[in-house]
Amino acid sequence: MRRAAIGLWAGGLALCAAAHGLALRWMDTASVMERLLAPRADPELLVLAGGFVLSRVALIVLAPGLVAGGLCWWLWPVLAPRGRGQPAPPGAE
Amino acid sequence: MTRVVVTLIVALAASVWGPGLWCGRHAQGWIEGRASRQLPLARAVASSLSDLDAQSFDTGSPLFDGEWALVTHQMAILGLVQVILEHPGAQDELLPVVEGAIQRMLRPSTRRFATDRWREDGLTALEGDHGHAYLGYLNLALGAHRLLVPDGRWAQLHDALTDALARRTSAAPHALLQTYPHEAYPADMASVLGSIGLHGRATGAVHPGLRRWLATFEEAYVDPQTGLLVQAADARTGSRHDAPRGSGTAIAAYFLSFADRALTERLHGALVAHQLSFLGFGAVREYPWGDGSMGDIDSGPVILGAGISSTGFSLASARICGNDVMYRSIYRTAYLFGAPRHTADQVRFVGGGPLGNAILLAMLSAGPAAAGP
Repeated sequence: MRRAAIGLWAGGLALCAAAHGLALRWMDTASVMERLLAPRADPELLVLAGGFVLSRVALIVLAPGLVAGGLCWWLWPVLAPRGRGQPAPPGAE
Repeated sequence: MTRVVVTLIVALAASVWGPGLWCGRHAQGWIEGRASRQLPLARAVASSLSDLDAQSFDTGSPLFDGEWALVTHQMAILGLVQVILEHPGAQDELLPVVEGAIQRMLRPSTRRFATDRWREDGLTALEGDHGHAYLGYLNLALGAHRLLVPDGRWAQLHDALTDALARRTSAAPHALLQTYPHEAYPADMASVLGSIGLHGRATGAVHPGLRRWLATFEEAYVDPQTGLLVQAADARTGSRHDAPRGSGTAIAAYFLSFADRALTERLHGALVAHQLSFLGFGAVREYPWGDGSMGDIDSGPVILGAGISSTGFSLASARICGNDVMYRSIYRTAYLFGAPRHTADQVRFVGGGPLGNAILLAMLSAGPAAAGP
């Protein structure tokens, strides 16, 4: 269960990063910004570009918290201070 | 319970400080002018210039298409020359690109947007009295090239164009030339004055009237309350036609750095006073505090008071004036929204297009061609 959760967390982050990389490539190779300057720009393109910017901001804002928070959570059994003589919490081994 | 609380605190702290650290991780390299930062963007700008002209833009206005093509070439030339000045080893690679861009700037088709307005080609009417202040952009490009090649093929044209702009400025009652008939913009005039100063530094023949024109210009168009430059004015009376604004101030601070660093520093002080900052991300207001006006073609979108142009252009004076804190904070914003994409030996801001990338190259690398203190 724990391994599955870690896999979901790490895999989800990696998937988001990969999707962002692909979207960045699309924005570049499809010259999206140039096409958006046209007076009758495709509304779908505008939505996609807006979605890209919002998802980029969300990713850059949330990713550090998700990485640091995730590491803190999963490594807690190892890193957490514990009293003298107390056994390590489950999952520390 | 402790585990949950500590995890939330760590996650929150990382989300507050992490984005700024991530987006600003290359800023120090840009501040120091490292080749590893400048050359990849210079190469991307160079590759975007081939065959670029007014037809490359489709804003719906032939005037804006033409202006954008002119400014894209000018900014690319200034940026590439600044990179060469900072890294002379790149001259063999980048100088041919600079010269190709100048050749395209000199094509009559590149100036058609202004020729249509004036009903005369500014470059073939140098003896005339019409302002043609947009030629300051071309003259700055010629001056930058002349810093590298003092006796190059355009030296004679550079002298003639500078003489024409200086003669017209001398005759202007308020140190302002019209860009188009009945339209005058102090930011364009800043390109004229900057180009006259740059010509003097490139040739050693400093124009005797320049100090006086700069003083008149500052007195007439720098708003005493905000320190920002008025965006539009009447060349005949000197009266204001628009508010003092960040975009014109920021680009003028850059252009004037080629002639008068002290004036650049004063304009930069006004930009600092209109700076916005949130979690390490910086921006500059387009309008003075308390003015909630919307944006236009000069400013780009204005979001919560911050203008895209005023923010991007402010990178230049921040670097020239050694304001590393402001430079770093604006760089973070440019990184976040500009979305740079790295390929083999290039980096391109996908949110910028050819114009945005050329501007960013010139602004990020500003300084090596600026006048001394």
